[in-house]
Amino acid sequence: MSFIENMVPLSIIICLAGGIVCSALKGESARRLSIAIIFANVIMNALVLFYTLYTGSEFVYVMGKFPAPWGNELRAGSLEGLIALFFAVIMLLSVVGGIRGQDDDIEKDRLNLYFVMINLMMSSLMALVYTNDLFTAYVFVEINTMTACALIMIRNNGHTLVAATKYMIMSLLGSGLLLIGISMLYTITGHLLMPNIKAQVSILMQMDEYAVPLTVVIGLMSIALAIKSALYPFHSWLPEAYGYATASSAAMLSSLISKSYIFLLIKIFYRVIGMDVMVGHKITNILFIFGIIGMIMGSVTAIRQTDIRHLIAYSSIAQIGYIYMGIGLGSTAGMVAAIFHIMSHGASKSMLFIAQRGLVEVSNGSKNFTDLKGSGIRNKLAGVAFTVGAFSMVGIPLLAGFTSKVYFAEAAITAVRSKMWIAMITLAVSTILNAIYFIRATISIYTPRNMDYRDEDYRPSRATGIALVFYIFLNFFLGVMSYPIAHTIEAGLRVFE
Amino acid sequence: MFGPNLFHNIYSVAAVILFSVGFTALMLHRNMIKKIIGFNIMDTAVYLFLASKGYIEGRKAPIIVDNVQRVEAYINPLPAGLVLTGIVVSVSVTALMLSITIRLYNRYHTLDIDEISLRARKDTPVKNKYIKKTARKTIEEVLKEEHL
Repeated sequence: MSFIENMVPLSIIICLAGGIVCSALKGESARRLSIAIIFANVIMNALVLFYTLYTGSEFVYVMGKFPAPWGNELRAGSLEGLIALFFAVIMLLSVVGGIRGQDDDIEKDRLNLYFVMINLMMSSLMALVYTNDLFTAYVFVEINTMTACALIMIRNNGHTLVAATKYMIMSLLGSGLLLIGISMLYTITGHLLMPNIKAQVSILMQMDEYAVPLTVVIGLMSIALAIKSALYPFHSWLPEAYGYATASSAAMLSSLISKSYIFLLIKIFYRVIGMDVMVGHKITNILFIFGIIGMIMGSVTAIRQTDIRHLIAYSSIAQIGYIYMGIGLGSTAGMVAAIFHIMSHGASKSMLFIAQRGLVEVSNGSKNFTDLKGSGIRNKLAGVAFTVGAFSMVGIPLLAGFTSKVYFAEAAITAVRSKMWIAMITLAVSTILNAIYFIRATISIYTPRNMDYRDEDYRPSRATGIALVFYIFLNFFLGVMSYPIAHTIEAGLRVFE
Repeated sequence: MFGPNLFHNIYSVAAVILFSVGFTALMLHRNMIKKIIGFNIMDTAVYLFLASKGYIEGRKAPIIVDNVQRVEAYINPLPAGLVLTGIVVSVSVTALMLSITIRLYNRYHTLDIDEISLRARKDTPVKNKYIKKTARKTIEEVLKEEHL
């Protein structure tokens, strides 16, 4: 066994340990320790990714040395390595980018608690990506939910408290459905490890036994994770949570937490039930329809917003719709597009949240577009970053969002005829709607008004600047160098089954 | 509609009915405490489901006494382990929800989630040092007033 294989459990355990240590530290040192731990995670996950690419195969890490049907396992292929590396990078950038926001929004004596939650969330994200055991996945889903709730309400005001409550209620509905789904699956297959469940499911399919319970299980688990990742009709908690949480938290919520649930769903599709069984049960069609509705409705609602935070939040609903549309196409090409969009949306949306904070700082603290006019001139880097993020979401070439839309379109062309037409038309309509509100927002921040808001003492935060430069680079990188990434995703999906 | 297994699986049926009762309460009730009770009913229903599936009549927990090593003598201990894990999770979630409810009650003096949302919309502006000074109380001041 290679030394690098140890990186997988280490990346989870180091964050758990970091969370415990942070609770005993002062705020500033807790932040330094957390940034160091997340940076270590970036390096470790990069090693895992290059190791899996180099050997061209997956590996299974057996926890506690109990063999397969009894023990708990972690599994890493190139897809898991890529997603884990991406999550760690976005985590690092959103923590560093939001340093000033954390100082302003969080009371000083509670700052270390924020980083306890950051560390716990990091460990649960890594565990969700790497785990090979369905019940472990459930436990870490719950940890993810609780830390997300704490990340929302660490900013102490009424709005975040209500947002956290609503988030918690919706998430608990999802968790309950997921738990009973997993329990039912366990009772009909007798296993909790993903490959063993899949073997049993294919036997059940051949013998045509337990057809109804299997359909129920597939429905329960898909709907559960759709609720938790805010697919369109279940999005009611999202605007408030993204709108009032501190900038780092909002960036993490949109780019990491909801994405980790989608990745778990993809894992269930491929590794637990099997893609052919999923498509055979027509659950992909349902996700496809909801994704399509979400793409349109999220954008339509976003057009009406006058608050920059809410605009970005409603745009997230539309983008989640894109991802579910890709999954719903039911083909490998659609799945590659969906996973690529997880990454491009993660890179753009968290950048928008961090940049938005910089714009609000120079606009008298107001999030309203009338006050935000001219903020792109007053804070240049944040303005450029916001523009890049907005253009990426609209789908301007060279940027991440454009490439994922190309992949979606390619996947739609090869899909079934009825789905092809719906997907292509909705992509076009949704792109126009995206352009309406994002281009309008960009024009608005560059309209030279409100120049009396200019404060000579104001200096943009240096940490935010560094993070934004990396974000811009990441967006261009995903847009220009998309081929090797898509190739890695495809290769990862091939060994996923 | 009802197969012959309905009475054989009577506990599972009861569990699913309880689950839907809890799910509906969590989703539709306006009172926070009733929501939390609903959540607990929902999770407990899942434990009933697992426990009923894990138990086979006439068999014992897999602890070897009197050197009986036949598989048929014992039940699978794993569902019980899952129930224990689930209980730990649901207890911590319940504690978190109750603490949120206390904070909501301290702030808005009601447990009705719709009423709370309405009052939150009229809440004082969000604290931000870039806003020109507005009259906003810190949480300590609010708490002090409430206790007086």
